[in-house]
Amino acid sequence: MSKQPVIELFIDPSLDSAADIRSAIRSAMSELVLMPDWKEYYPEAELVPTYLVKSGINSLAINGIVCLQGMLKSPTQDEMVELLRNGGSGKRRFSCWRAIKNHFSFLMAVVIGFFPKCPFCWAAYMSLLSAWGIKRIPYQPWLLPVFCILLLANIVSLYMTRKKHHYGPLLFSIAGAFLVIANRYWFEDISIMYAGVALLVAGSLWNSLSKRMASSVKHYFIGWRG
Amino acid sequence: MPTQAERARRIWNMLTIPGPERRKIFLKNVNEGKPVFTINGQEPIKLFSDFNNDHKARVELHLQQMLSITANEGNYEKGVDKALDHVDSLDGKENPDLLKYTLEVYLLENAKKLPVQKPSILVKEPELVVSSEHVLPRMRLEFATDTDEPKMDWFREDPLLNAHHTHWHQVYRDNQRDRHGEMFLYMHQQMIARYNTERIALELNEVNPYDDLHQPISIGYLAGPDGRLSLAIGGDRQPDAFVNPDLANGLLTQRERLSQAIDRGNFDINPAAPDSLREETRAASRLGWELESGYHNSGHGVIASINDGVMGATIFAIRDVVFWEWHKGIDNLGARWRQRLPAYNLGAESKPLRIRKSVDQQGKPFTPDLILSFLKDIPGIDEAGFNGEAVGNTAFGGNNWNTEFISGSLNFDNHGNQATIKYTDSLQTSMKSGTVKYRLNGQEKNYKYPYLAHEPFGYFLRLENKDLVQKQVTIRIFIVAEGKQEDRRMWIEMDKFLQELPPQSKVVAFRKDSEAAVIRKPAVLNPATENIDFDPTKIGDNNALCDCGWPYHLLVPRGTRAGMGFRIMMMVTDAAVDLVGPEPECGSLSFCGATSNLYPDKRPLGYPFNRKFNANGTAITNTIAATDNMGWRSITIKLV
Repeated sequence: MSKQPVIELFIDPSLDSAADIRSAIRSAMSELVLMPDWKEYYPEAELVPTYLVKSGINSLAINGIVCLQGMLKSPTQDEMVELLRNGGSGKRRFSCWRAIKNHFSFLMAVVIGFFPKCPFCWAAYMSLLSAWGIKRIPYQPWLLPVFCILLLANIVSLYMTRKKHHYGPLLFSIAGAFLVIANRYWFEDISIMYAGVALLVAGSLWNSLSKRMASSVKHYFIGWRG
Repeated sequence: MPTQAERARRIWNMLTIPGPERRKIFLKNVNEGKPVFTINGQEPIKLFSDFNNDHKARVELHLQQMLSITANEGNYEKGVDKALDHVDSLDGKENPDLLKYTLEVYLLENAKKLPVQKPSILVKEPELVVSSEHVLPRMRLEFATDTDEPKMDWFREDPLLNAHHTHWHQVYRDNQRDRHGEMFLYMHQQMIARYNTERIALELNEVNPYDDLHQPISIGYLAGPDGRLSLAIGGDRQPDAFVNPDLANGLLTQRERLSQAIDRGNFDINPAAPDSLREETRAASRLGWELESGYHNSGHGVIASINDGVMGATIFAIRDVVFWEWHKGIDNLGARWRQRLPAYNLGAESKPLRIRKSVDQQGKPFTPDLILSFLKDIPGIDEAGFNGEAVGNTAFGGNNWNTEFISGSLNFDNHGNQATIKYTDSLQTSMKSGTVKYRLNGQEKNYKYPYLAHEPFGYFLRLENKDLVQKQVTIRIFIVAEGKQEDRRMWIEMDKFLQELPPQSKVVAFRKDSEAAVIRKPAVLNPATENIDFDPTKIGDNNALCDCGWPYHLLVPRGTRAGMGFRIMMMVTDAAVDLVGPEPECGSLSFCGATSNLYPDKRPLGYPFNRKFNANGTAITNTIAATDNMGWRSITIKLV
């Protein structure tokens, strides 16, 4: 047994055998060359896992599976070793949260990064979409000033949050907005429009990433330099 | 123009000219009707009290004059010289203690620009720090009341602890610094926590509040053999002395008004507010300042007025037993407000990492991630370029990451060299003796005083960052006497610092006791020898601001000869939530904040022990056992 099991003890600290139970866990883990390490919840504790609450006080869970319930006396060291062996090799209770935390942190960073998180961000996304189709719906002339206002709101919001990632996202978005608008009136070249939209998207994404997520992206794509 | 060293020497001299002589000259001038400094015909200040708001206003007046003289001179150094000339011009015309206090505050205001070396309190005011054990037994008023209080004299009369207290009041004097009121409550609460811990070691009861000012003060106090002769204080206070009943009525009314304001919810916060941390620190600051500037200062004055006693000035107030009783009453008001704050739900807060925990062989709570070593037992500690983290990673990381290190020694390969490191579950303290020397009334005086010392130690902290991102975490370390762990007001802050954790890394952080956030830095390792003589090589250090902080030699509670049980707790929080600015270059982060105006931790002072945990009996034990980012272990502290 090499992998450290997650042990949780839901115990009444005034139980006569509480010290013996702890001692048995400690000795068994030492025998299996594991670092003695477990989490304890007392009756008044907040956030006790549901499976322990359901099992009642004086229960022991290994890897999220309740192995002992209603303990009044301590198991022997051998019994505890056996439990740890079985519990440790048993399938760990699936936890969505643990899975997300352990395996998909980067993915989540990117996914969350793409979601607009505030009214201004929605405005930014809308402004991008509208900028793309700005000339193709001439029968709705009121849309032009609305979208221009949204574009402006996007830039203002980036300016207001400039402390987060400094001026990078703002400069990207200003350059993007300039290209989109300039293309609308002068160039009328589809590639310039795409370049402008790409800059707007990049600026918005950059800004919507948290500092931590930005670090994660750096870690994956640029290599960590901290 | 004088050189830097000459200017520093001049300042040293101004701060160390014997106080008794200057006081004598000033009082003689006053009594003989010679011209002295007064404002609008007010009486001259014969006995200076920095708790007295009128006296503080006078300090500010002189200070502003000095700052304005400095600023109006084109050349900064010339401006400083002129400001010092101004102080000299007031010699004999203004209260010398007030002038000295003003000069010290001026040095604080110029801390970043003016290179000086500040003398120890043992040189500045030697008569005032002499241990009262030299008072003839028949004069020791404590004896008359058949009390054990003199057992605590070593703590209350510690010269550097008195210096810390007065210096703190100089730094936090006018409600201009960030979170002043909150810091007032916290710094004094920590003093009481330590005082009570030392009392428990001596089998004394915890200090009782002195709230009912119509009751007599049971313990008398006589400051020291020469305190009275120095003219800085009046006579002795007899046991069972009463304060003036009218003044007592005034104070009781103030206390009642404050209690009612707290109970009415005048200082309550909205826990659902977007920035509830800031709300709490603001509310604590309002309450703290209101308490300090009114009730607290008046109380010092009223109690001191019985005998013009030591309670009247920050420089020696803490020597008196009644200081602690008075402050316990104030701390109770702070606690009364804190009791109204919602309990912490630490389990629901974000946790940057998990601290492992189990029990030790005796069945006491134990975390293998907090390892203690005496510095003398760490290989290479004295070598230049010593890297504690590297030694820690080699010894306690790698293949040993999952090994417990409670007490013993380990042979390991220290980068190609065989080395041995010892680790311990027991800290050591000892009582040492220093000497204070001075001349008074033409006589050479030479007195011994006791001070506590401890064997220097360091923490190795094992921290695992399982995430794919770099983390900066705040590590908080507290200690509490065994059996007192459920009393949040008994927890003593030991340290608080930042640690970088690379992505998916196992780091063994190392921190020396002399780096502790609570102590003044650079640490005064030996109170008996440091800052006693003027040293031109130290004039660049400007320790004016660094003076602020708990004395290093009192960092570890004294413990007992048999070994006193303690719990030491570490908590790791996300620095992205905590941090608002850089750590200070010197001085104490915990008690004095940063050199800039913003305190560099968003969380309330004393977090997480600033609030109740929940309504149940074993709330703190319960929370530490169940909360991932907290862990504790049992240690003993042995007085050898």
